[in-house]
Amino acid sequence: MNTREIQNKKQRVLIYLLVLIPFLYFLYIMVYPLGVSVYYSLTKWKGIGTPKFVGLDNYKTLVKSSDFWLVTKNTLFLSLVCTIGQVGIALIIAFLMTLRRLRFKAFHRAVIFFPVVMSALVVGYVWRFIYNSNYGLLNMFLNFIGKPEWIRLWLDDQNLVLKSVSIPVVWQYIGLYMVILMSAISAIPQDIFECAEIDGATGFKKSIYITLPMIWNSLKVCIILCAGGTMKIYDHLVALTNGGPGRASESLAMYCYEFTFRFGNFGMGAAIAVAILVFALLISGAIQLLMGRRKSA
Amino acid sequence: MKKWKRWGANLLVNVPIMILSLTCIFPVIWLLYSSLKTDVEFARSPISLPAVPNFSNYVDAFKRASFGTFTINSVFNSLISLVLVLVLSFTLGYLLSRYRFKGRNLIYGMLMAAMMVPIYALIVPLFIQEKKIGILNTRWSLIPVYVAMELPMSVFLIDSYMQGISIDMEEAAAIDGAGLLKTMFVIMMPLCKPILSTVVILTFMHVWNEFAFAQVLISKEALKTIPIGLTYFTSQYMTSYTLLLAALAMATLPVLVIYLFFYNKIMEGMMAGAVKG
Repeated sequence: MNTREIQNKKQRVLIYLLVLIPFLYFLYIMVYPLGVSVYYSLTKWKGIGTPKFVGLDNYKTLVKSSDFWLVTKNTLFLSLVCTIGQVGIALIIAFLMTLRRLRFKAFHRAVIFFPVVMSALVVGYVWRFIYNSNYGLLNMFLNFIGKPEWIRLWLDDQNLVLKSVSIPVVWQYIGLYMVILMSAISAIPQDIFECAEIDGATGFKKSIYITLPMIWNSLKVCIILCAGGTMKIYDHLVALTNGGPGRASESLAMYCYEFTFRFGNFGMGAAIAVAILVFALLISGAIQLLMGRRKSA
Repeated sequence: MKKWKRWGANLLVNVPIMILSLTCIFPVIWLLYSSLKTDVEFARSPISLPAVPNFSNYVDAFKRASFGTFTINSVFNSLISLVLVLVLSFTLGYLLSRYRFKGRNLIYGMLMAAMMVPIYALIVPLFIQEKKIGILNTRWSLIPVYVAMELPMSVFLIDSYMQGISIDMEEAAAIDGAGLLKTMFVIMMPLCKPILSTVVILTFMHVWNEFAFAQVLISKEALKTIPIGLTYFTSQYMTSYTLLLAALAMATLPVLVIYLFFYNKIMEGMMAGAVKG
């Protein structure tokens, strides 16, 4: 461990001061509001005046509201699809990237990662052009390859819209998980592979029996990040559909925004925010439990 | 026969990834050249190249939607946030990495746990809090949030980087009589340049693209940022598609340029973060 001794009392005071100033600031902005949020979720409050304590009333209303369960279902669906899509595809690509036969590796890595740094809003708007039913690139392409019967109202069909919006989200973040998994793979000591090759393991077997267990922990982190990240999805949906048609593609975060700033119901908005937090924690806990602890290493 | 088999395997590996790569890059290229078309051209064919590059959409974006103001605000927010994130995260990251003191593990643990909190759950309480202390809807509404939002990841990166640097230099500086502050900022900070540039890039990308907080905490026209500006181009009053495309291109270009210049640094940072994760 590269650590140093604290030399004297003066230095100790200075260190505490330098650590506590940014840390307390951090607590004030990121942690304290969480507590405040929980308190407001137990009140009836319109944003002005004094909040009136109502106990669990907001939560009771939420649980009874069919809209709440609809947007929860939407969000969970997106979270599931995006996690499988993003981490799954990223894992396959990360494996392929280890193969000698794959050409232009540097190009692929640079290009597939680029969407990650783009604004989610820009991605949403660009995909709206792709999906548009009149001049959209996708329908034009389907016409071009002679499959006009595949043309759909991608963003206006309420049975289809959630699937349509999940594709840009998956598309944008494949690169992020690809890079994380690639670096996890590159951190595996080479001699393990050499031993396996001597024992006769080939490409596919090597991936399943050696690489996968060795990167299990990184994979878990990816899945938790992705599932938790998608629970708060907001920007993409604002740009793509603004929640429509009806509430067919509305997420929990949008529902929270709507209650707070459109209906001015701050207590309810806070309750939805707490619900998002609870869902995200439950999901990450469930994944930790399901995927277990690091298997090897 | 064997040769054919190898050929087939090569195709099977190369073609799908090439297609994926092309779909990743095509929308960006399409966005850039389409923004140089006129609306008539775009209506005729959304896919063709512009006959003559036409920059009037860019001029219009500044004239009709005060894109200039949005840009200045975005640049201001990004720059101030960058400086603050650099100073604060380096201080925290350095001290947490080098010294063991009471509460150190608790502080480090809380910072790392905060990475998991969906920050959007904080929007409503932050709105209320800012209203109370009177910085809602001012030039200083967003920066404190952005700085706090970026701290955990940056501290994590700096801490892992510092663990790889031996303490010899600092010990030597101590013998020469350098104090803690001087050691930190004059001697060690320049040594951490590689990881600090990663922090700069990640922070810039996040702040430049941030939408949800900007939408809630700012309602004054003169203080809005580029992502908020983008939503204007889709409102019912502005139905020019190529104008929207020009605005989207302008929001993307700075990110694209930085990406091209600092690609290696970005990857380095991602790797440093992932290996430990």
